[in-house]
Amino acid sequence: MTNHRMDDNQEGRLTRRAFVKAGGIALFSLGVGGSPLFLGRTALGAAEVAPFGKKKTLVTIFQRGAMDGLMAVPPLDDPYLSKLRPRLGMSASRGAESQVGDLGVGFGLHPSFAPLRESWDEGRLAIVHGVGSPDTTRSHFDAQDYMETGTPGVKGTPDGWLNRAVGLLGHEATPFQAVSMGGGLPRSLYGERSALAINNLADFGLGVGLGNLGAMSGSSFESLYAETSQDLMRETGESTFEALEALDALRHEPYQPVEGADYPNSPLGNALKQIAQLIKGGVGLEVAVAETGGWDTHVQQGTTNGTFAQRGGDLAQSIAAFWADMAGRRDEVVVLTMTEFGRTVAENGTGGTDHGRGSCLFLLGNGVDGGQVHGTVPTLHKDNLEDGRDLPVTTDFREVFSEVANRHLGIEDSQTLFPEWRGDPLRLWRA
Amino acid sequence: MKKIFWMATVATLLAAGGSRGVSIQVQTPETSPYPWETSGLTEEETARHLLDRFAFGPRPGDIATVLAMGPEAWFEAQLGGEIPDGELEDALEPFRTLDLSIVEITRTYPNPGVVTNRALAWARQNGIITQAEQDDLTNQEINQIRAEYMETYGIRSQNELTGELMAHKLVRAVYSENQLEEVLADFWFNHFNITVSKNQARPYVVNYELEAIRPYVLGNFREMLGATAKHPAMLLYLDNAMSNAEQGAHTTAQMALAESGRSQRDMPRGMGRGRRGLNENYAREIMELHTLGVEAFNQPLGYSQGDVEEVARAFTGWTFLPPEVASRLGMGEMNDDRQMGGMMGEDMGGMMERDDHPELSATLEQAESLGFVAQEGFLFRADMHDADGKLIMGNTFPAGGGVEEGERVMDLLVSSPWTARFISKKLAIRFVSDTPSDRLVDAMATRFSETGGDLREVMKVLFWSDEFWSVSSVRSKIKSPFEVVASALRALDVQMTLPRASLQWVERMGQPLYRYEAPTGYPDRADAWVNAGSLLSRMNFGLNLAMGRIRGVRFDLRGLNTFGGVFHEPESIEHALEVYAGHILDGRDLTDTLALLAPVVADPDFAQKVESATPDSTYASGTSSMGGGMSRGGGMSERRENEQTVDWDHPVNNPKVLAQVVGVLLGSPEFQRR
Repeated sequence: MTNHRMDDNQEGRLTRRAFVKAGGIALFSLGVGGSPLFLGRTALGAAEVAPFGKKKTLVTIFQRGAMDGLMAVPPLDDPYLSKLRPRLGMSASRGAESQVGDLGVGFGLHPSFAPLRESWDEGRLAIVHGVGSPDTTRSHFDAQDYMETGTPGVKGTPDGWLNRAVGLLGHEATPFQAVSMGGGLPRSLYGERSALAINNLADFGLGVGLGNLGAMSGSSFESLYAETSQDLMRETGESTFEALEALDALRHEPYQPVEGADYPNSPLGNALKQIAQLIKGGVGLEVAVAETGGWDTHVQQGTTNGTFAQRGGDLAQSIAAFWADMAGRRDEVVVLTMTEFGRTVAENGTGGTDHGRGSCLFLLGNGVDGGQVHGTVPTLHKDNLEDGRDLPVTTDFREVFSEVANRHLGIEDSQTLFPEWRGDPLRLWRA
Repeated sequence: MKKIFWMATVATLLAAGGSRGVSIQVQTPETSPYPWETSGLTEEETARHLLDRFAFGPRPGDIATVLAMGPEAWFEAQLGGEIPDGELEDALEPFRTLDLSIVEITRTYPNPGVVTNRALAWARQNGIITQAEQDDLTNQEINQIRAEYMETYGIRSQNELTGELMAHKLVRAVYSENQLEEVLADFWFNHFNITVSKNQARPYVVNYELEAIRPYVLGNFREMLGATAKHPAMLLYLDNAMSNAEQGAHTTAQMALAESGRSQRDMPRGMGRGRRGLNENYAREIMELHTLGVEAFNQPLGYSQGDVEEVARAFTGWTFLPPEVASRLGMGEMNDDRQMGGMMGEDMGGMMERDDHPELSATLEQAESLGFVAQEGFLFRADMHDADGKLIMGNTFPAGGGVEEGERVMDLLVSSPWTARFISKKLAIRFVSDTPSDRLVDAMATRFSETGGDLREVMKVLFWSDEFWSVSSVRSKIKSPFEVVASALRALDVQMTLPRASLQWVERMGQPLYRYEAPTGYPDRADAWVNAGSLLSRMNFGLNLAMGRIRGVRFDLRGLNTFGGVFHEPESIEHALEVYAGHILDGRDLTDTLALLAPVVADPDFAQKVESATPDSTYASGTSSMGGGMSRGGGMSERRENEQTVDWDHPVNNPKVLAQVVGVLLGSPEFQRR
C-alpha cells in the first residue's frame, strides 16, 4: 500500500482537496508536481488524521433474533415470572456474583451483563423497558424491517431511519459519515445518503493481499478516475482516494485500544473496536452500525450459563470495552442498542422462549439520564400481558430513537425522521 | 435489407402530472435510415452499445457476430429468446435445485428452526432421548440430533438452496446465448422484488424466479403480475397470506353456505376461525411498486389510501398452500414424515401464529363447495375472503366476486395509463438512460396500452427510438455490481467452475443477490451504485480477477489474443495495453484511457516493477491457465506450434505484466460504464 511514513521533502504541502476538507489544517502532503500521485502522498500518523473535523457519533447495535428483555433485565419479585419460567428463572440473591444483580430500582441485571454495571452505577447507562413496535408482527424479518425503516407496518419505505438521520444532520457528505461495520449494508442505512459497509478496516485498501500491486496500480486508477468524463465517478473517485488516504494511516499501525479496553474477539467486539478506531482517527464518523446475532433463543436458552449468557456477555463486554476505549471522547459518543421484539414471558417446551413483543434496550452516554429503568413494565399477570402472553409494548421505539437523534445529533425534524409518527420523544437525557 | 422510415402517429396519454392530456408523437418503423445509422456511432460502437444494454457485455467475438447479423436481426433473435443454449445447459447441469417442485423444495430445504423442532420431536418419539434428557442437551448434542434427523429424511441445508439460487443467476448471465432474457430476468425480479432474508419466503425464491418471473419476461406483463401475485414467495414476503376479512365482513364461505341452504354450523372445523383483519402491505405495493407507481397516489385516475384498503379486501383469502396441506387435500405426494402434518404455520418457520392461519380440516370437495380454490402453491381461502362489494378506483366490484375478483383488480391496474407509463419509464431507465425523455416514455406507454402489456412490443419501441441510439445515451449507465462481474467474466471468456467467489465480489461492491430487503428492489440510478466503498471494490475486483485471485474462475489472457491457434505477441507493453484495451473495451473510443495509461507502462522499468510488486504468492497462476507453464509455451499443447515465434522471455510476455494491465482496465471508470 501507500507509503505512509513521513517524507521530509513533502511534508507541509497540501493537496487542494485535503486543504478544503480540513479547513486549512495541514494534514496530507503532496506528491511531486501537484498532479494526483497515489504513491507520493503521505499521512502524518493516526492521531493527527482529522480531515473531516470533530463530530458527534451515534453508535447503534442491532441485536438480531430478538433479545429476551425479561432475562436481561428481569423485574425483581414478580411472582408470575418465576412461575412461568420454572427452568429459566434465576434468583436475585443480592450480591452473589453468579446470580442476577440488583439494580436497586426493582429490576435485576443478568449476570452476563455485569460489565455494564459500572456505567449504570455512574449514571451513564439507562435502560428502557417494555420497548418495541406498535406493529404486532412476530416475524423477525418484518419487525427488523419496521424498526430499521422507522415505519412500523409499512413495507415499501425505501430508506432507513439512520440514513434519513444522516441527511438531516445537514453536514457535507464524507466517505465515513455513515458506516456499517462488520457486515453488509443494513436496512437502516438504505437511502439517498451514501453509507459504507466495511467488513474489516484492514480490507479497505487497494490491492489488499496482492503484494504491492495496489500501490503500483493506484496512480493509474487515480488518474483514470480523475479524468473520466462521467461526473459522478470523477467526484466519487476523488473522495475514494481521500478515504484511502485517511484510512491508510489507521490501517497500518496495529490498533492499540486504551488500557483496560478489553474487546472480546467476537464479531461485535471487533466491529466496535474498529468503530473506536475510526472515531479516534477523526475521519468524520457520525453514524455507526454494528450487529450481534444469536438472540433467537427458542431452544436451551440457559440461565447463568448457556446461549443467552454467552450472547449477553459478548454484548456487555464489547460495549464496556468500547466505553473504556472512548475515555476522553465520551461527550462525543452515544451507544444505543435495539432488538426487533421481545420473547414470551413463559418458557417453551425446549428450554427457551418464543417470539414476543416488548423487550428492553440500553442507552449509554455522558448526558444520558442513567441509573434508571425508563418505561413501564406491569406485573406479569396474564391480564396485563399482550395477547395474554407477552410483555406489552409500552414504549414505541421511535420515542427513544427520536430522543437520541435529537439530543445527541441535534436532529429536530422528527417528522422526516419518522414519517407518520405523531408521538413525543421519551425524556432520556438529564436536564 | 428492407428500408424503414418512421411514420408519425398521434396518441394522447396522461402526462406525469396526470391531470392534463398531451399529444405526443409515436413513431413506427417503415423505411430508412435506421436510427443507429444517423446516431454518429461507428459500427463497432453500435454493436457494443447493443451488447452493453441487451446483454451482459460482449464476449470475444460477439461484436463480430452483431456486425455480421446486423442490429435488427440480432435484436429480433434475442427477443425470440429461443437461441440454442447448449453451453448454458451444460453449465447448469450440476445444479440440484432448479428442477425441484415447490413441494420437493420445501420438503428438502425447510427452515433451520423448523428442522430443530422436528429433529427433537423425532428423537423423543424414537426413544433416542427422553423429555428430561432433552432439557439438558448441549448445543453440540442438538446439532448431532439435527444431523441424524436430516440424514434420515434427506433434508439438506438451506445454504445449498440459496447458494444455487445465486450461482444460477451468474452462470446464466455469463453463458446464456439468450442474453436479453437474462437482462430482463434481472430487471423483472428486481421489479417484483422479494428476498431470501425473510425466512418464511426463503425456500420459495428459486421457484418464484423460475415460475413467476422468467416465463414472462419476453411475454405479457399482466400474466407476470398474476403469477407473482399467486406465488407463495410473494404472498409470504408481503404478508398477503395473513390478510383476513375484517370482523363483520361476510366471507365467501359463509355466502356459499347460505346460498346452498346450509347452516353456518356446517362450516368445517378450523374454517373461519382465523384472526380477522386486513394486512395492507401487498395491496399497497401492488399499486405503488408493481403497477401504477407512487406518482399515481392521490392523482386523478390514480389511487388513494381508500383504494389500498379496498384492494386489500379484494385480496383477502389469497394465501399460500403449504405443501403438507396440499398433500392432505390429495393434491400432492404424501410425506412419510409425520412431523410435517402439524400446524399450518410451521413451514413458515414457526413464525406465523396459529391464530393467523388456523389449521384446516376439510376434504378437497368440502373446501371447493365453499369456494376454496387450490393450485400449486396457491390457496384461495374462501373462509378468509371478504365477499362484500368494493369500490376500487371508481369501479364497482359486486359482492361475491370470489377468487376472480383479485384477477379483475389486476386487469384494472394493468389497464391504467399510469401503469403503462410507470413500467415504460422504468424500462427506459434501465435500457436507455437515467433520465429518459417523456417523449420516449410516452411512446412506449402507448404501445404497452395498445397491446395489453406485451413486453416484446414495448422493447421494440425502445430499440427503434432515436434516443436509445443517441450519443448521450451510449455509455451513460453505470453498471450494477452484478453487471460488472458478469461483463468482466464475459470479457475474459472465463471458465467458471465455482461461482461463489465471484458472487462475493458482487456483494462486496454493494449488491448481495436476492438479499435486497425492500420491496422497491435495488435503485437503478448511477448514484445508488457509486460510492467510495463500491468504487474501491470495483478496482480491487479488476485487480483480483486479472491476477487469477478469484477462485473457481479460469481464463487465458493469451487466448484472448490468439487467432487461428496462433498467439499474436504484442510488440511492447504499450502495444499490449492497446491490444488488451481493445479486447476488453472493444467498441469503445479508448483515446483518453490509453493516453492516461500509456505513460505508466512506457516506464522502461514497468515490467520489473510489476514483477517485484507481485510476489508469486499473490499471483495465482495455478487457478488460471495463463500462468508460468504458459509463459514457457508449455501449458497449452495446441499453441506449441507458435512456440518458436514468441519470445517468452520478453517482458511483455510476463503474465503478471499482462494481468496488471488487464486489472487496471477492468477496474477503470470506462469499464464501469455501459
